[in-house]
Amino acid sequence: MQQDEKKLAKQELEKIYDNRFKWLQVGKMLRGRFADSLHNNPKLNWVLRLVIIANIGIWSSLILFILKIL
Amino acid sequence: MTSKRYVLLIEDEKFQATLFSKIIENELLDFGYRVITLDNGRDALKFFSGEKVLKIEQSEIGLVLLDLAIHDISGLQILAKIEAKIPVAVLSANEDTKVKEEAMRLGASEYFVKGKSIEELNRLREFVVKVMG
Repeated sequence: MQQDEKKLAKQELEKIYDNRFKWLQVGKMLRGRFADSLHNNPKLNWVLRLVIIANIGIWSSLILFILKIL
Repeated sequence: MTSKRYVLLIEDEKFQATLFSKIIENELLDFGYRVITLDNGRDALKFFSGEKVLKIEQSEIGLVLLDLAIHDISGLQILAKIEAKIPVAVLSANEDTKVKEEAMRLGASEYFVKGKSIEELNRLREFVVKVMG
């Protein structure tokens, strides 16, 4: 009886464990794929940098514009 | 039964602490051992320096399960403080071999990657039973 309960508890705990850490496994997989993409395609690295710089430029212009109006 | 009746789990994330306690307690059900938890690094350092932080003594601990990513103090610092005669299993989400090697150098008996797979969890269970059983 106790062994059955133990087995049942073990299965339930495994499910909770799996659900809890699923996001971590997915995150690691996506990060790995992203790193592989950057490694296989160095141009992507530059494109991403340019996108970030452009975004900073756009948002800072907008903020400065709003501040000037106020 | 020996005097080493407790497994000490050092884990600051409440959900994970409860989950690992339940898993280990379920595994050690036949032996009657208990899991006791510390949720911060400062108390863990105090405990292993001999201060009375818990109701139990260091001599009653048969195994330490240590999370490396504690918010206030590095798990490696705590690991260095634990006496060599107490087996320590490191739990970490970090799969970096350098971190693993550093943990083993500081005296960890085993290194388990949290959330890696059910096989890894089974390896932890087997280790706990081997040490405490």
